[in-house]
Parts: sequence; structure tokens; C-alpha cells
Amino acid sequence: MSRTFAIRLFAGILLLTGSWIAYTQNTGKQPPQLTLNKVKDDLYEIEGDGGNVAVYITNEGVILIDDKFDQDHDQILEKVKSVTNQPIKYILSTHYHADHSGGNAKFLPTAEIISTANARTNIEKHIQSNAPPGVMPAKVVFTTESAVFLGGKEVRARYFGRGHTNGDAMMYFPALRTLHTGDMMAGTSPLIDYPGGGSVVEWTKTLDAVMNSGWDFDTVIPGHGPVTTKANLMTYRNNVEKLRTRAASVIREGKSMDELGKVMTAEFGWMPGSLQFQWSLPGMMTELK
Amino acid sequence: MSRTLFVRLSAGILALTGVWIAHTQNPQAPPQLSLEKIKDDLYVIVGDGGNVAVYPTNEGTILIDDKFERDYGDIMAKVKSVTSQPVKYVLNTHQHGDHTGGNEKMRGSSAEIISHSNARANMVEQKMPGLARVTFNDQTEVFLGGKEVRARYFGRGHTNGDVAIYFPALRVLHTGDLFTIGMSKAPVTIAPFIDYNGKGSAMEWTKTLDGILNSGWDFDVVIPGHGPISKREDLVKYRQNFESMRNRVTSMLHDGKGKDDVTRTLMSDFGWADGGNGMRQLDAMIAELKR
Repeated sequence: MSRTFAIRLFAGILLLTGSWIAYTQNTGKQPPQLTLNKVKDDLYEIEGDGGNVAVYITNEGVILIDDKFDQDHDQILEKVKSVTNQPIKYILSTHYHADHSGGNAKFLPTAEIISTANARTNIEKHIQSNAPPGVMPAKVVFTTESAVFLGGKEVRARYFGRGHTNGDAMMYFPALRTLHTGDMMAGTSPLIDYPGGGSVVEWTKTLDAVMNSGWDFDTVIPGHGPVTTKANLMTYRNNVEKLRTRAASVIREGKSMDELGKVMTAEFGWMPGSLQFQWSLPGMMTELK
Repeated sequence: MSRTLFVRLSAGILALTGVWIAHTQNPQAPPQLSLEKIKDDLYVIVGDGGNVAVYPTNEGTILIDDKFERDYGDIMAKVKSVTSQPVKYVLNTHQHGDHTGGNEKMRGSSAEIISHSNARANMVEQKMPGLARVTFNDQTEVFLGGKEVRARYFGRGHTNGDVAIYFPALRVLHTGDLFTIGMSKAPVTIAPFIDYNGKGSAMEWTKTLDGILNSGWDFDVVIPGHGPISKREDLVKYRQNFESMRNRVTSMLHDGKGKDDVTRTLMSDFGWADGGNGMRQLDAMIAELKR
């Protein structure tokens, strides 16, 4: 074998190996691009892929609300690094779903994660049917209210009752008059996770409780969708009530679940086969009977 | 000034300075602590401040309270004698410095400190160091290495921020100072310290203990805030005694008796010490019981 040939062969192998590594490490789908928006001084939110992540910067570390899917971990870190050198010290979880708590496993070694007791139980029992394996629960849980104090700043987390699940916490930034609702407000129409202890009857009561809690806020970070206002949270609450009233009347007329589904699609935009069809319709048939 | 005199004078000053430094820097070594094993993997560190519970797991160690700041070194030595796992969590039973004094140093070695929101608020008000970064209002739980510890607020008593701590797998309760007994073990009737500055209450205290006893928490062993490891019956006895004391004082006040009579009765019939923590709060207790 000539020397030139050997070099060429070697180079060829190297190239192929490189391509193979690039291919396997980067299988098809990249996680969707996330975007970072400034909400108030020292408060940002990261949108895209999973639920909205709030980023609260202090001079002793960063507090996050939620951590999206496992696949978003690196991008979340990158976004946080673009606005502060401080490490992520705390993550407060709004609820157990993998699009909000999916990053827990990767963050747990370096951050304290705090959730409601029910959110932990739901993760441990693998209640979410479509969750990827390996979602890790918080090590510290609370029943009614918890607060985190860091670098002279404060975030409060409180359980106001059932709604999206049986373990939704809403988060309050007192100094910034801002609320993170988790999925108690998300998109345009509620997803009631009955297997996870959700309730369309309790949902409006729970939103009323946060409205009447004495928490003084004007800005609302919803679980999904753009940052909005307290007035829009009220509109959302009234829509949940409208949906519940409509569904109850359909069910009490003796209509079937299929028929209820058609009404929900026509009037509230629920798509056949969606999680709303899978998780919400059967439970509503029972709860609103 | 002759050179000899100058040397002697300097030496004298130096010696005095040395004595002064030794005196101020090292007034007394902190009292020796001792470690007692109470269940398979639960220990209590007794001595100096409040009783510290030590719960090792394979992901780290959970402590209940951390005594005075000066006890930090000895606490860590005692923990190291039973586990190589670092202290990851410290749950505070309440705000007093003989239970939270080590918080600052514990956090320095990267432990998470957790307390009741009222306990933290009291510490802020009284400008105490070692504030918890994580607080709760009702109940919190810590899960570590497959083990669990619960802390719950049952109401006012010793202060307005006392939490009782429960180890479900071991059937053990840590009461903080809602229950304290003398080291002699003899009188269960050691005077309760109702810290009115810390918003404690003689009226609420027994209700709070009833809350614990009726909580559904299943325990047989009780770690008091101070004093030897006890049983559930001892806690019940303490609660009954508290009620008798309160009823007696209330009826004396009703009969128009004054502070002096009350003091005598508390000392003769209820084992209260003259000038003790309980006695120092007597005016405030009388005011509460007259209401």
C-alpha cells in the first residue's frame, strides 16, 4: 500500500466517522427554538416548546418557574446565561406535566426544585399517559403555600385548589406585581386533566381564589401563550364558566360523549383526538352529570 | 527610659494583650454535645441548645434544628461519626437562636434551610441571622434518598411559628419547644416557655398539641425540644399538665389573686423555677388569661 493511498484511506475513514457522529448525535429533530422576552426589571420569560418559563434574577442566584421538557434544558441554560451570570438556584413547579417539569431531572443536581405535594405524587405514579420516561419529582414539596427568598427578592407559590390538575401552584412576584398561572390559564380553552385530579367545576373557584387572594398583580404570565393582563385572566375565567355551563346543559339533555365532543369542537375549538378529547371529555361526562 | 525597663514594659503589655485576646476569643469552649441513636438511622444530638435530630440517607443528611452557632463544629463532627453524607437540609422547628444559631454556617456548607413563614418573619423582625430561603405556611415535606420528613404548622404555642416534625417510616415526632422536659426526667412539669414576644399563646398551646395528637401521625417516640427522648404518653401528660396549670391560674385570677400568689402556686405545684423562662413571661401570661 503506497503512502499516499494510506493517507487518503485514513482521511476517508475519518470523514465518514465524523459524518456518522454528526448524524447520530443530531437525529433528525432539534428541539424547537426558544425565545426570551423581558417582562419586567429582572424578570424574563422563555417561550416555545413546553410551558412558559419565568426567569427571576437576583444577586444570589436565579429563580425559575418551570423547566419545560428535558430536551429544552440546554437552551434554557443558554437563555438564562444571555441575561445573567448567576446560577439557577431554585425552580418552582406549577404542576406535574412533562412540558413544565420535564427538565427537573437535569436541573436537580444543582438546583432546589419545589412543587406541591400532589404534583410530586402524580409524577411518582406516572399519571400523565403521554409523558416521556424519566420525569423526576421535586425533593421539597408544600401543601398550601411556600415562598423562596433570594438576594433580597421573593417569590410565593400557593395552591388555590383544583383546576387543570389537583396540584397546580400559582406563582407571585410581589415586587413586580406579576403572576405566573401555570396552566390554570393557557391558550384559549382549558385542558382539564381528570386523571391528574383536575376539575372544570373547581377551576373557576380556584381562579376566583387567586383574584381574591390579596395578591396585587397587573401582569400575568400564562402557562402557554404570550404575557398578558389581569383583565384577560378574568376573561379566561369567564370563558371556562361559559364552557362548563354549555357542557353541563348538553350532558343533562342526555347527549353522548361524541355529541359533547362535537359541541366542544364547534363552539370551543377542541380538536378531535386532542388531549382535551382524551383527558377532559370522559371526566366532564361524570363531573357535570 | 532605660532599655531594660522598655523591654520589660513591652513584654508586660504583650503578655496582657495575649491574656485579653485569649479571654475574649475563647471565653469558654462550647459545652460538649453527645449523640444518641434512637432508631435504625435516626440520631439525636443532645446538649447546649435544642435537640438536633440527624437523619442520614444515601443522598445526604437531614437535620432538625442546628443549636447555637458555636455548636456548629461539634454538630458536624457528630454527623460525620455516623455518616459520610453531607448535610443537605436543615428544618427549623422555630426561630429561637438555640435552634437556628447554626443556620448561617450550615448554609455555608450548602445545606438548604427551611422554616415556617412566621418563624422567618420573627427572625427578620428581631434582626436575627440565618434566615431560611425556603418557607412554608401549612405543611412541607422533604424527600431524600427514598426517605421522607414532614413538617407541619399546627398553630400557636411556644411562638407563632412552631412546626412539629414527623418521620413516618420511623414513627418518631420532633416537637420543637412545644414540648420540653427537664434532663432529670423527674418533673414532666418543667415550666413551658410561652414566648409572647414571638407571639406565643398559653390558650392556643394545648389546642396545638391536640392538633398534633389528632393529626393521624402515628408515632411512639417523641424528641422534645430539650430534654431526654420520650414517649407519646409523656407528650399527652405534658399537655394535661399544661391545661391544669392554665386552669389553676385562670381560676386564681378569677378569684382576684395577684401575681405573687400565682408565682407561689406555679413554683409549689407546677415545678416552675424562680426567674426561669416561664416565670419571666408571667405578666404576659396573666394578661392573656385575664382576657
